[in-house]
Amino acid sequence: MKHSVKLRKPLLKQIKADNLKGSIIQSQPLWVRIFHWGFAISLVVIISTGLQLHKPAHFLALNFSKVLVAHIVFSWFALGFLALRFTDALIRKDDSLIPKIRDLKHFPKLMAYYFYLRSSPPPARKYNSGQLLIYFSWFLVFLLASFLGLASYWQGEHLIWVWRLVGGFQMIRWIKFMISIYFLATIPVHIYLSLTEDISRLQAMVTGYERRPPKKN
Amino acid sequence: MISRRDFLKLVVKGAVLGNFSQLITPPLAKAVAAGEIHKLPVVMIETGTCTGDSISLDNIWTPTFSDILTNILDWRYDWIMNQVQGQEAYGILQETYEKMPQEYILIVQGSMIQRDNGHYNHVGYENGKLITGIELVRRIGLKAKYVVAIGSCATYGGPVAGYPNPTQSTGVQDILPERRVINVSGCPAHPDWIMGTLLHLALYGEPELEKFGRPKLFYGETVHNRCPRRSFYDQGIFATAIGQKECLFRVGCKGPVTYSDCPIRRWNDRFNWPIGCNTPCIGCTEPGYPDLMSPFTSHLPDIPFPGGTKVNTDSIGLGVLGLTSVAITGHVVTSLYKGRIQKNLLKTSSKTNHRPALKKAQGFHKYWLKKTNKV
Amino acid sequence: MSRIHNPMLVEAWLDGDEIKDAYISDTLYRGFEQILVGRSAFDMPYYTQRICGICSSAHALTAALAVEQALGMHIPPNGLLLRNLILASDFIQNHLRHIYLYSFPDYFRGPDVAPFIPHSEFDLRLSAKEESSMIEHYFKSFEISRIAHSAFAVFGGKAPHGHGIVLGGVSMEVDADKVNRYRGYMMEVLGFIDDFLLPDINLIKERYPDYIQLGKGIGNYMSVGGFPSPEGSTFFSQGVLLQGKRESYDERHVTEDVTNAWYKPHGPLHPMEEDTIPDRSQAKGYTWVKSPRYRGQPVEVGPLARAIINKEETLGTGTIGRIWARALELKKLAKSTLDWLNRLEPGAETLDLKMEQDSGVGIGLHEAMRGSLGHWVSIENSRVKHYQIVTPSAFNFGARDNTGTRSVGESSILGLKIKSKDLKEVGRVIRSFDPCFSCSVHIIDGENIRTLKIQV
Repeated sequence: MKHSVKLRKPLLKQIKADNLKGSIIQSQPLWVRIFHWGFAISLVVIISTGLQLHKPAHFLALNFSKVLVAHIVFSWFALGFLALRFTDALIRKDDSLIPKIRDLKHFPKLMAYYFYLRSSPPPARKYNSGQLLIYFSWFLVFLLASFLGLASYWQGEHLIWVWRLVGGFQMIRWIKFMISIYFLATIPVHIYLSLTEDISRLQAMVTGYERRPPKKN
Repeated sequence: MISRRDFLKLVVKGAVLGNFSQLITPPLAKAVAAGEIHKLPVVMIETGTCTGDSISLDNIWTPTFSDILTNILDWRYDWIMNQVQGQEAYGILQETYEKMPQEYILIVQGSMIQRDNGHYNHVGYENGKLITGIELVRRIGLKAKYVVAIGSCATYGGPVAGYPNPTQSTGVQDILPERRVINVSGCPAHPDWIMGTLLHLALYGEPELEKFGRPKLFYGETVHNRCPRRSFYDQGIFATAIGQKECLFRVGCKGPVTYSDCPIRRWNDRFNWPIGCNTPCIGCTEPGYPDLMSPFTSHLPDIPFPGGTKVNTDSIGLGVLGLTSVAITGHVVTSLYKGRIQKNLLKTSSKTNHRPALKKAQGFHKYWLKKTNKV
Repeated sequence: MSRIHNPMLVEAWLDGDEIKDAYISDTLYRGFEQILVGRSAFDMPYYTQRICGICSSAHALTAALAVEQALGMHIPPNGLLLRNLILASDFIQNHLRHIYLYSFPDYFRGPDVAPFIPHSEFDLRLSAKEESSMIEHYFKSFEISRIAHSAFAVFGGKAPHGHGIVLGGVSMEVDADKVNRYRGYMMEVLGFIDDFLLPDINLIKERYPDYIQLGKGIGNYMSVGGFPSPEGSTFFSQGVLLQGKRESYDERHVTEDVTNAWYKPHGPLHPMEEDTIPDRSQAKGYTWVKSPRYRGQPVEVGPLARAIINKEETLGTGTIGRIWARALELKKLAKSTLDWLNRLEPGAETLDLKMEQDSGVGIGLHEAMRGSLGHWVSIENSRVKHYQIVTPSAFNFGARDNTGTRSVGESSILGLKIKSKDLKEVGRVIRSFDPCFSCSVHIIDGENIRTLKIQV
């Protein structure tokens, strides 16, 4: 049987959409994407300059006053991006990054999934419990590092209580080093899982849209 | 305390009278006896110390020590210097404590040894009983006009308080929490820092203190900021081992985190200082020295673990990173083996298996649905 | 007791005016040997210096020798000479300060200012004129000992607690400027020794002839040698004189006992095997100093012992004898620094950082200002596993050992006839050893002592 249908463009779209498995939805608004990539770039600069300041690589022979300036400037950038994301979350009343107890209840199951004891991850809100833990800890730890950085930037002119609480410059240095090690240990995990778990999520961080699987009837 | 004018008069007198042998001539003795000259009374208590700060103070080159003793300070009790011994020497301390309250300066040298209620350190003998260091410092300190802690041990615990701190040592501030202690840190403290602080107390009262209770005058800037090798650092030229002429940052110089004016003041007749000697600064003026600063040849400190082993921070960092990379590699391999990566990729990247195939028909916006098996 | 380093308590039991028994006790425990364990071996020269403020470089050098032996490092000749120069200037500083600041105030009145008032008036035999010149020299000695420390800092960075002595040699390079400066300082020191120090010592010797023989040791002397030249000969020779018999020194005969000290008990053990666990509840303990012995016998160490082992001229073995030996050593040492300076090669390496292994056992032995200093160390993966230090003052003033034998210091004041109220005689004798426990001695006065029961 051969039949012809006259299809107009809207209708065509409809058909396409219906026939796709799942649906395309906007998951990452513009500000979130700006924050993500801006923060990522800043963090790369901050950590690499920080490590360079920690233990200078000989062959680079960089100008160290400039390395320090880059470190500080990009820290301010990163804080700016963080402020964007924060404002955005306030405006949209977005609580997707705040871990809640019901999220964390899934954590053992998620770990079971990562250790191949389950075939599929447990249900989650926008982010699963592992992601929530990592992202939220990054947020806290980055603020802590920036705060300590600020304290050492002012050299005891302000924030004297921080110095007394922490116990000196060397301790500030040590805590910041440990924080950078934490970042260096968790960022690869983040990249690895985002590449292998859900590539459309990764795509959403660029285009803003991700594909949602069809709801099972 | 002498007023500033008194002091200036006194200085003039000192200058006129000249050196010490002339000063002990009758005019001075008379002046002292008549109470014309009021020098600032000083008592020095030594607790858990190596006496390096006394030795360092003896190394002062201007003013001379005879000038200090004659004109500036009434150096009453200091068991390294007192001529009398035993009970008589201790009597001077008691006399000062009883007759000059709120008038004398207490200098403390050495850490406050707290173990066994301080009985790991006895500093006096009174009424048939041994007096512990913390007891004496607390008693004398509460009635002193100023309390000055000199040296790393007295200020923040110092080498005596190094891990595992077998004597439970702390700085003076910890046993005199109710009053301000002026910290003149350093291992040993530079004679200028000690004498400068004392003179400031004698002339102008309490100096402006920085965040850890040290006079800003001497501890206001990091070693790094005024280091003569700073240009090497700024250009990224680093020494690879001690004994080289470049910036010693890579061999563990603690200059960037150490507040003191060593680079411009320098030591012992201002000819040399630790970095001038091609060795890294070991951060001896900072709280947390020496544990936070050692190994002295590495950037970040050793972390003690239960069981007595110590691991350097750098190795901990490398260990954590190594562990992560091993974990990720293992996960990649297992995922590939189990097919999880392939499955996830297919699930989340292929658009659709059943996209309706359309064929453009003649005419504007006309399509045919292609025949498929399903339809 | 004042004018010595570190706290010290002397308890003397008097019978009439004669000392029948004496206990000398160190009243400060800091626990360095415990603190050192687990630290990087490269920190040892710096950290061990903090044991003593006046003989810092001796600890630095001995620690460096011990660790270098453990790690198989070799010092270039220039480094060896520089180390000698650093340590020699510290010796000179220490001896000057000891003689003028700590010993001499026992023999003259001093000016009418604190800290000399109140004066100790007992048994002063100088005339008014001699008195005033002595005071002048006293303050002059401040300048000169300062200059000696400045000479230390030329190659040592800073003093006290210098940075120059590091594993593998000395970090400072040699050039004409530094040699010139060191030499200049030394010439000033030498001038002072000839013009002031030696005449002053002679004066004291003439006025106090009885003290030449008072306070004798027990006749056992020891020196571990020191100040090696690149050819291998040493400025201080090594050897032991035990009850009149000379023999060569062997570190295996050194033991430490803690029967009468506040430590967890163990028998006489070699420093490599012993531990240091403080325990103030030990009933027999009376001091923090252990009892080091050589072949189970107490020995005297210090400038007098070195002079005897070196077979040099001495002036008796008593109180003034010790000070005299110290002064002569000072002059000899100051002169030899000029030789060492002449042998330095500008531009040649002073530091060799090559290591043969990262674990091992090392023994550092060197004469310090007050006598034989030994550091015993074992190192594993560049970290300290075991560290024991036997200081000269422990040899001279250690606790009684398991057989009850007194140390040289305690023996030397036995039989002293006391006429003063404050036991000034005891102070004179003990200070001649230059005790260094890092604090001070409080002499319990006679009346209290008589009420105390003797317990051995």
